[in-house]
Amino acid sequence: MAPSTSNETLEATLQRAAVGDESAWRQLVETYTPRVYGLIRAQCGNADLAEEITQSTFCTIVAKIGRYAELGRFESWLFRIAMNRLRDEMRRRKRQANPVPSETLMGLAGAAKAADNPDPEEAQALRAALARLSDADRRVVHLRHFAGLSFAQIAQVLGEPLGTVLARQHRALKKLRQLLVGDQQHS
Amino acid sequence: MATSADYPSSGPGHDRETTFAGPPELRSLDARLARQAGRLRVPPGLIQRVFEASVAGLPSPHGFGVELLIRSR
Repeated sequence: MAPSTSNETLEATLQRAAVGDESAWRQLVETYTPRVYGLIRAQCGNADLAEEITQSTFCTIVAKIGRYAELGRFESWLFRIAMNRLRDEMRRRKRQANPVPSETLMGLAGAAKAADNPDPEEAQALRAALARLSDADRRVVHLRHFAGLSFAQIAQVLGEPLGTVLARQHRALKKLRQLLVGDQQHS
Repeated sequence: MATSADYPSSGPGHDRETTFAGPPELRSLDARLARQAGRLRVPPGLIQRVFEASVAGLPSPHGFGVELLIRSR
């Protein structure tokens, strides 16, 4: 088993992982778990659910990695699976009439509890403003900052044109700025 | 521990500056959002739990590991 090196390309790590190399798999898990968890946590605002979805996402990747053929698109593939897992779970909970906690619907509302935050007021204002964005605009912000994806990758994850993603990001930031300035003026 | 920096073309912050979509006055807000995201902590032990939960599904690197183990007993 070849030791992993920091110079190894992602595709080489994936190839090793696909044939059952545990060290390659550990490398993938260590690299991507924080980003998948962060994205799902931001999206649903529920730490337990985010943990569950993160585990489920990696189990799916294990099951499908042998058939992974989209060279250069692993990150888009991974985060698309994570987003789909979350969507499916939310649908399942809705069908079972298991009410979603209000903080879950607030997007980032719960994130502060896990955050080591030196300025809770500022963070709270930002979370409140994020919660007032449309789902589609907020999703772009989360994919960019919590998943750490480029705009091209976000377009791949969402299956939308790059221009649409860029426009959403721009609109989201403008709206956030308006909301934050408005809050400051009222306080 | 591997980090996103191990894969130069990926990770939080990747091409953030070069692909920033918006006028300069929104750039500081963009950076503020990045800081907010950076403060989110991963629960202790999550990485190990994810690793253990998923590694059971990996194929054996040799394809005959279990069989060999049974034969040797």
